[in-house]
Amino acid sequence: MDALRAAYSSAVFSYKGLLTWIEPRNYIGMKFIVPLLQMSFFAYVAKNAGGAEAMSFAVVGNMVQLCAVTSVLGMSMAVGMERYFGTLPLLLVSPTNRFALFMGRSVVYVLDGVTSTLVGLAYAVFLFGVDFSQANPVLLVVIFLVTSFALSGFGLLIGSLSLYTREVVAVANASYFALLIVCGVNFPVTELPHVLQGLSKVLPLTYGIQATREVVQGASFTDVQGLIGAEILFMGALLVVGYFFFRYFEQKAKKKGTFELI
Amino acid sequence: MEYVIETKDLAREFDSAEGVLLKKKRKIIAVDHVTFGVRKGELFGLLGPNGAGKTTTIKMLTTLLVPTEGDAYVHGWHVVKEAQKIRNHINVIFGGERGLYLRLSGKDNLRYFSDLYGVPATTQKERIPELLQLVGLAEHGERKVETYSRGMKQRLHIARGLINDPSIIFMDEPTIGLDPEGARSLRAIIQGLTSKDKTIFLTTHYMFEADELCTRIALLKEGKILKIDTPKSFKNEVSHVTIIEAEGHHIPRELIDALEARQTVRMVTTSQQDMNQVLQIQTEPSTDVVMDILQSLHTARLSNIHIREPSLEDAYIKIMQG
Amino acid sequence: MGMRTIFSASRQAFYEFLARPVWIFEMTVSPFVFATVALIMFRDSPSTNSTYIVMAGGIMGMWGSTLLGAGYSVVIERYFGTLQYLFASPSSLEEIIAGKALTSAVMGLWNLVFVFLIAIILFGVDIEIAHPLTFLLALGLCLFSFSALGILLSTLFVLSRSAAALGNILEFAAFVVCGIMYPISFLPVWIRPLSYILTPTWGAQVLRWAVIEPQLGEGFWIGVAMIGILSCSYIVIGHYLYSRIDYQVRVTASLWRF
Ligand SMILES: Nc1ncnc2c1ncn2[C@@H]1O[C@H](COP(=O)(O)OP(=O)(O)OP(=O)(O)O)[C@@H](O)[C@H]1O
Ligand SMILES: [Mg+2]
Repeated sequence: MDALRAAYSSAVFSYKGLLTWIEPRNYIGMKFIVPLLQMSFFAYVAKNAGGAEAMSFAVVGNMVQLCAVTSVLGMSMAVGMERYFGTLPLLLVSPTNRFALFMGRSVVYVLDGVTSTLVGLAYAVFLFGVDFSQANPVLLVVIFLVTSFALSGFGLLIGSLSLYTREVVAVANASYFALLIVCGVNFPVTELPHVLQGLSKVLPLTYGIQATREVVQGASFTDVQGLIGAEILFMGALLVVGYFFFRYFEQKAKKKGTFELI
Repeated sequence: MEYVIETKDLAREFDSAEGVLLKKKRKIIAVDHVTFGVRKGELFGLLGPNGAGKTTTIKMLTTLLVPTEGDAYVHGWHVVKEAQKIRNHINVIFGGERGLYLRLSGKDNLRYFSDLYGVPATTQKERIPELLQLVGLAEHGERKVETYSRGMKQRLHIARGLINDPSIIFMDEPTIGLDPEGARSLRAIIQGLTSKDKTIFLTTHYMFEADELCTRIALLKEGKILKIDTPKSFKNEVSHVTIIEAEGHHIPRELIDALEARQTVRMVTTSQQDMNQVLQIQTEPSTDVVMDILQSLHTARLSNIHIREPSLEDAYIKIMQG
Repeated sequence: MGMRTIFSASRQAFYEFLARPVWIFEMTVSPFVFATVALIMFRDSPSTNSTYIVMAGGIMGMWGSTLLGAGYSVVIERYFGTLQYLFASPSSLEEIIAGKALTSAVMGLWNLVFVFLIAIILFGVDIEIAHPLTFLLALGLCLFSFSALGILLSTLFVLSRSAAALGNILEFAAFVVCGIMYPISFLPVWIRPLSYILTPTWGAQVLRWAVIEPQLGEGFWIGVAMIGILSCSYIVIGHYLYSRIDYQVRVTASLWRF
């Protein structure tokens, strides 16, 4: 119960924090401009390489991946920022369940991530003319929610590193970009070298994108339930790993005394 | 004698926006038309409560902020129109540990700033070790600043502030957050600078520090100067009182009321210190009156009763409250 | 001061790079990703020159690095409280930034090298450069022009405290608008004028000629001329803006806000 309360207050607080850390106009930039730029870039590269079909492929992939802006970058920064603001030590001496604390925060990031994807969807429809007429909108939103949640689990995993190292921003950025290669965002995963194909299979985003592509082509829930199921499964695995990472790095950081370095 | 720092009706306002989405604009008057002058070789102290406008004043004098009204001159140069000339001859130290390149060594920090101040390479070679020596960091020059303690960083700031051999140095709370020993050694360094004919403009919240260092003090409150004088004449303001202090667990209200009711008592204050309450009484310096009060404190079983001469702090509090 | 400030700021930037080894990793991530994605995407499109794709990834990284050094470093200096001391010194902020921009543009060359290595080792790309010497000269020209653009854009970072997001936007915007990996004709018509006034557009064009074309033609020389003209304009405009900023910053007190 206490863990729940910690999670709740942390969620409310992080929403306020999100807004003060990212000022409204900054937030608009992160929400509308960066996604547009990213999507345009890959759309045009795809068009140059493989014509209109490749472009639609990249647009849909990027649309889904965009929720990682908040759920991976935002989530890991949420932990990272504690360090920058010097509040990390305060947080870690408090008796609350810290994992619950950050999970609570993730609620905000999950919802915010979905809105990023919805913004991407608007671009896909109005700027790049992708046809969504066959898609079941409710099913799409469900997939977006699951994907965003899964990605914030991933963000939490990365964020846990910031308990230990101050270079978490670099790691978060790298992970964000890595998703662009590995998860079938811009080209089918079958194009990847075998090692990376293996990696793509354990990342929930791969399933989320695949499910989205099928729903866009008119698939029903029963068609994609396997994919959604797989995504949830790997998301659970990520959370478990994240939890242990968190514990582990907290211990390690306490031993090394690296909370204050920025 | 002529002034090396001079202000005329110097004022600065800030717009402050409140609220996240709907911003309300409000004007804050940080410095409210102050006029003063500092002579060459003086150690001039600017005192005042938080938010009084001390830092803002320093920023204007060091060409970092433009006044909204009035004028200020440093070495006779105008802080807005001739900022560039001023910058060569002054330096500024904002208290605290921020403002250093943490991942570089102390020496590299100094080297960089001496380049930015156009200190010739040959001079640098002598000056940097000298300054490190002066601030007691001679052995730590090669270490990364992030491994320094807070006091070491603050001393490095002093060295940085002297890198261009400035004739005027502005220091904003240079000893903030230092341990007593560290603060003392920093004060000794500051004191030593005046003997080299430098002018120092200092702000601090520590009254004894101002008393010990400053040749003249200006009291600032809500952007206005209340009084400018030597520490000595400040203390004269309260010289006609004697101060009695005592401690107790729960000082009875009746005792305080009774003390306040006396004709001869000027002021009674209480404050919390650790577990105890501290009672302070300012009274006429007549022996009878003092003995009488001591007696009543004794009867009330207060401990640690003592009499002392008024300090700068007492003068400060008196002027601030008056 | 002038040259001396530029030199010592660029040395300082270099030391800062050395003091933080993770920069190598940080800087190479995005060019690596862009080049990899592009190489895989273009794999089945025989008309495309892989060397050019690789190089495009590399110069995108160079641009990112320049922006980091010229612009984002202002955010960092503000955060660590050093910006006010830079400002209080008699050296001009413009020269300090110029020094940083140069260093980071040159450090950005590492991106190019890295991306080439990846392409050769992981993708087995045959690197073929039609005019190696011209290529090197063109690269130098790009470095110069990126720095000039970095100085111009850094004014935004000095004035604005929401500059953190700005960094991402400006980095990506140049990738999109300058058509480094695709023809500008893909872009909506109203954006194209912007492409033409940004030097990375012409830098990409010049490099493309040097890498691909058997004979250097008119397009190459137009590119060179445009880079020259635009870079000089950036410097002039930047200089003017900085002379205004020196005053503006002291009015708005933006040195202390972030
Ligand atoms: N950049 C700013 N924007 C808005 N208001 C400001 C700004 N800087 C200072 N102020 C306001 O101006 C007033 C004076 O601030 P200043 O920092 O000069 O006080 P101070 O005397 O140095 O206080 P302290 O002892 O706490 O350092 C305060 O009310 C402060 O809130
Ligand atoms: Mg202050």
